[in-house]
Amino acid sequence: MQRYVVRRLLLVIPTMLGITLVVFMAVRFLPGDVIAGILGEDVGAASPEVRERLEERYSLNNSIPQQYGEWISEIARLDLGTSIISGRPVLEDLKNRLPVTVQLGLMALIISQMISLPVGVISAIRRNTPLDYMARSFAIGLLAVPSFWLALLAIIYGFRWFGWTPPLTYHQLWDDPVTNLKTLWLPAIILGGILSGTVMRLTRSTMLEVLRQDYVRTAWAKGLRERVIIVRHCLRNAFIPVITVIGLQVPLLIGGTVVLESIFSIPGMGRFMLDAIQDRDYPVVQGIVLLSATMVVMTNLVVDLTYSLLDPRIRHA
Amino acid sequence: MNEQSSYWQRYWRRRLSRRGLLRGAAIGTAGLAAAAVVGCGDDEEGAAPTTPAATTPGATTPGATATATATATPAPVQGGIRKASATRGPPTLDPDKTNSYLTRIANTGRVYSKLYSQVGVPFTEPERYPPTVFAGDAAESLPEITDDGLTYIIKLRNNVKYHPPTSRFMDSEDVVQAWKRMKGELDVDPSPSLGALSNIDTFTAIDALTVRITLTSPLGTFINRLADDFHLALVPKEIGTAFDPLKTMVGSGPWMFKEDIPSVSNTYLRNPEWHQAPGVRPYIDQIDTAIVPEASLRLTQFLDGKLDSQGILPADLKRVLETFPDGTVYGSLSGYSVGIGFSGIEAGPWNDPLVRQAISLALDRDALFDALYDPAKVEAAGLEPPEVKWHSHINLGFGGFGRDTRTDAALKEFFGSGDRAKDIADAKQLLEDAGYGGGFTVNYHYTKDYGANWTLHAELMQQMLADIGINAVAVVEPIRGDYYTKTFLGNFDGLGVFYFTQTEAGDLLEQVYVPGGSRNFGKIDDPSLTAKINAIQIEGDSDERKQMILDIQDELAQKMYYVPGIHDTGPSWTVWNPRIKNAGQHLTIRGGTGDNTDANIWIAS
Repeated sequence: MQRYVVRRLLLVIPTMLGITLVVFMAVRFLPGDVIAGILGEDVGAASPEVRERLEERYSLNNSIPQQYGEWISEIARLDLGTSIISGRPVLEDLKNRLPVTVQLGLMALIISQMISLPVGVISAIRRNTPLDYMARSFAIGLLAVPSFWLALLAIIYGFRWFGWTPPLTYHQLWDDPVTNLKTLWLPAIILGGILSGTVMRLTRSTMLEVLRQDYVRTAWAKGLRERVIIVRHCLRNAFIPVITVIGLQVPLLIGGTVVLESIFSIPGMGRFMLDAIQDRDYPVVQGIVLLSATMVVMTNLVVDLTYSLLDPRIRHA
Repeated sequence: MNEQSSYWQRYWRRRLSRRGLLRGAAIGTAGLAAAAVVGCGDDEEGAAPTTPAATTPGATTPGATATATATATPAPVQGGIRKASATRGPPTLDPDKTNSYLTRIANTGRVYSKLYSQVGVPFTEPERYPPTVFAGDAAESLPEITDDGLTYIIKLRNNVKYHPPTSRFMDSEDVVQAWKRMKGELDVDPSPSLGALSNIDTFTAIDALTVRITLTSPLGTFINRLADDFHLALVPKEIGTAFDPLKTMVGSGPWMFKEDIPSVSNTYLRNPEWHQAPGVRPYIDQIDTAIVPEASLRLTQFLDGKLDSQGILPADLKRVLETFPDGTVYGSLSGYSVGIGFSGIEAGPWNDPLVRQAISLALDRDALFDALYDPAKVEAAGLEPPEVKWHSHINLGFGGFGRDTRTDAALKEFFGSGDRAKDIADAKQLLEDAGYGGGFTVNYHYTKDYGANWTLHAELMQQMLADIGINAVAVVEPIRGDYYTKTFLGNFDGLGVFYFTQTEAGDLLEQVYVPGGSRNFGKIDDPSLTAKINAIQIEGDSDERKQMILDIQDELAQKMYYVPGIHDTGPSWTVWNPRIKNAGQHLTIRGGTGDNTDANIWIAS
């Protein structure tokens, strides 16, 4: 097990290097350039000297390998560079925004599991009943509905029917927990609901698989109560693949927050990245994508390690 | 300096009309009277900020009104918090690092003074918009100008005080240093807006409160350019040493910077020592601006009373006015227009003026107006529907400088009779005469990043070209992609859709038609036009200058280097919460104190 962990951690290094290369090249393939973003509509009036000076300041006139090398050496010093647009260190902005997205993501994840797990289990044990059909339709509906549409409906009809609007500005959880939760509860429910569709269906199918096992039939034959059979004998085995999928939802969370953060005015990483992409703010985009990739890699590592804890049959060589 | 006032001084004095002086005196007197009876600031709670819609093409900007519900204005009241909103936060707080309106209008324009500012006009007098009257901001008065128009002597007020922690009075060295910083001579990058003041030759301090500016050539709009929020911000000498301009702002304007939380909000506090009205204005204590990107969220929060004003689409006007029947509402024209430009780097059918004239006739401008400005919905909201007008090559928003091509006898033949069938037939005949009777296919470049109205306008124009056999193939470009880096620089093939704006009609002509102009998208190089525009720019007599601008529109119509659309011929609507008083009385275009409204409104107790 120890060797497995060490091996997995060592594998992270080339994985991350590959990610940095892809991220670096990807933003530079975006049409347009950041100088045009800085100059805006005066891009035509700017003299070549102005443009050259800006390019020199942001090292944009260096060769691509040179720019990449500079960036890698900054990362090694735990420095994600400086925003071209704002002039602020990228890390400083991310420190403020990351907790917001993490909180939203965690809330959405918890809500997602609160919906999907019980509904998936009930759907499996009441297979082919109206309850099952309703649950499956609900899951498909959640998968099909775009989150931004739900969000807009919630805003418009929340006010029209209930006279409710979210707080105007965001407050950190530790500054004003009440306002913080008032801002995040609705986007968390929407995002959690969207995510729950997949997990609900997977939970149902894995439960059905487990329910067909011999040992479960034996448990029924022994006369055990349904609740005991489900909770003690079935759930743990059924949840093994589900936990893997939950881990794989972390990148979905990061992507899913982009739209909702913009709609609900939440100053998280998703919105930050959207603005940076629009502005062609390379250091910010690189920093966010790198951070997101790191989170995904680490989450997958944790999921893999958790797997062996849940399933004693699995031993990592 | 000559004892007799110079030619240029007389030019600028004529622009400061007697009426403007009387109005300014009346407002100042009323303000002083109000200050004498003002009570305590009210305890306005609920930090829910608001701003009018951001200044983008077609969005609500200060400007002339179409209709209004102005009521008798009570005496000003000190105190309270204005709740504003913005779609994005400022990309930076350093005025010399960007020319984004998010920074220059909504933020730095509030904090940093300029040498001059426009004298705002009320929405009830659209003919005076955009303002052509200027007054000193940090400058004590209009400049002394030599007869040749090349030297400006500007005396500063002696009471322009920088905010804490600088807390000292501005002197001429501050102004000179601010210019040097803008030029990029102080180990910072040159300002992206430097091009607008590129005709400044020297900029020196004569004494502690006097600066001298010499130009490379006379320029009738020079004071306009000094008054522009996007240009010379009077930052203190201590910028970059005593304070970091990326993190804070220390200016001398009506508002003091308190905090900026990126993507969340920013806050400004009233400057009680503002030199234009010490102890009187601004009336309100604080501006809280929330960053709310989503339009529907802004609207619901405005209806919920959490924001003080919003730009409102015609379709929403009825509902909003039912919620706020006593609120101030006005429609503004901006100084913008949108039109079709033609490639200047590739040969094609558009090189023939007959083809360009045909494209102009192909546009059903009345239909475009209906689609964009929805007069029926405005009328349903109980407001007077906007009168249909068309741009000429000078935006209608420029007061009396643009001729109405619906009614102008000389221009109608180039813009349409209003009889769609006839216009189509005439257009096809022009194409026939040019040798393109069968039509042609052409790329049609535009961006969707200016908003839904802009996109609708571009796409409707594209469809209308099909009526005369021109197959315009859409090439949609991200604004910071090919649009800014290629199309906007004139490196496109076929047709492109552009918007045109300046704060002054002559500057608009210069930027659009003179080689090297920042909006010369079609790379036009017409010696006849260039000579006429140069003559306009150095003309000192305001009446003569206006006549020259009116006259040149005949040649512009004949040559049709750009085909004006209809965008911004109709009003953008702003509605204010009834608790806000005196809104819309001091409208400017990039030449006030950032959002000039804020320094003049008060909150009813």
